[in-house]
Amino acid sequence: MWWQLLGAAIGVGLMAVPGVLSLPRPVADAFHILGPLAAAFGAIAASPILRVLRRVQLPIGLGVAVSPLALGSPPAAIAIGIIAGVALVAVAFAPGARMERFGGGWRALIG
Amino acid sequence: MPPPWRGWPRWGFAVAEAGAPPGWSYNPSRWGERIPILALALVGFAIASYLAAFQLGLVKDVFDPFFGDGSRTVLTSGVSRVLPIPDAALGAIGYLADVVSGLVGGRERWRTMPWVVILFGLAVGPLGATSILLVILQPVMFDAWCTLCLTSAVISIAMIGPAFDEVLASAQHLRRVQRDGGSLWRAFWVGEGVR
Repeated sequence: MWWQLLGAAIGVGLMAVPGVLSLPRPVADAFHILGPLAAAFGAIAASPILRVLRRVQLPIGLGVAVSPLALGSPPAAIAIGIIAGVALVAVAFAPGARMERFGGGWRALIG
Repeated sequence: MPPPWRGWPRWGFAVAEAGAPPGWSYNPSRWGERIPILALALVGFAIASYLAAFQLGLVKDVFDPFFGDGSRTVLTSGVSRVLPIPDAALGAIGYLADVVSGLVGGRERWRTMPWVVILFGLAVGPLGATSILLVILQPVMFDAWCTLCLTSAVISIAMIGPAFDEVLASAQHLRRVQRDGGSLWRAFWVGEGVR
């Protein structure tokens, strides 16, 4: 749960970065789009029932790491993007939830 | 979301609570599980209604402690008027649907009323998804933030995880009925089936 809430916190932080650093348009938009997504999926995946959705942080994290480089930004934004992006990728690979208490989870629906 | 210790006594093996679905340590449909979600939905409904009242001109000013005119910019934007009713009014209707579908049914409704539980999931899920989209649009399209809109988005996202354990329990129940050769149709609407 804490890993996922960390992902959510990183997402909220990314939402604030463009305003704090007065970033130019394209990279500001990237943070403003990927930040809320990371925050939302972090909060949703904090619930053991929907922990599988933590995997979504992988593409989001890659986007966060790469977009400041690709869109041209001040060094501070590039550094923040790489650190936050790598952290989100790590969150995507955090341990899953044990589904024994939930009748086997979503897996019980197939097969 | 239940606290991790629910249904697990200190000596470490699972004791199912009365009314818990097979293989579950707790009953996701009990009132203790549902009331916090209902409370969140009611707060969301109050916020969305207030924002809708502003959009309809019933309230002159909108409260925003952090972003000044941001709320006004967001709430009077073109996007907010895409639909025949203001977007906050649609949000209020969504929260109301959460409240009603969260309230209907007894303490074992995961098995006695699967259709309401699935409807509940369908009400909670898309409301959260829409609110993520609206949060993204605030800075990207209008260069503005709206405090109460963000608050409402946080509430609608926070409801998703806690709401979906019931949805999973109902889905597992319907799957069991189907495996046992029972009528999925009847189990869905009337709540019959295994046991």
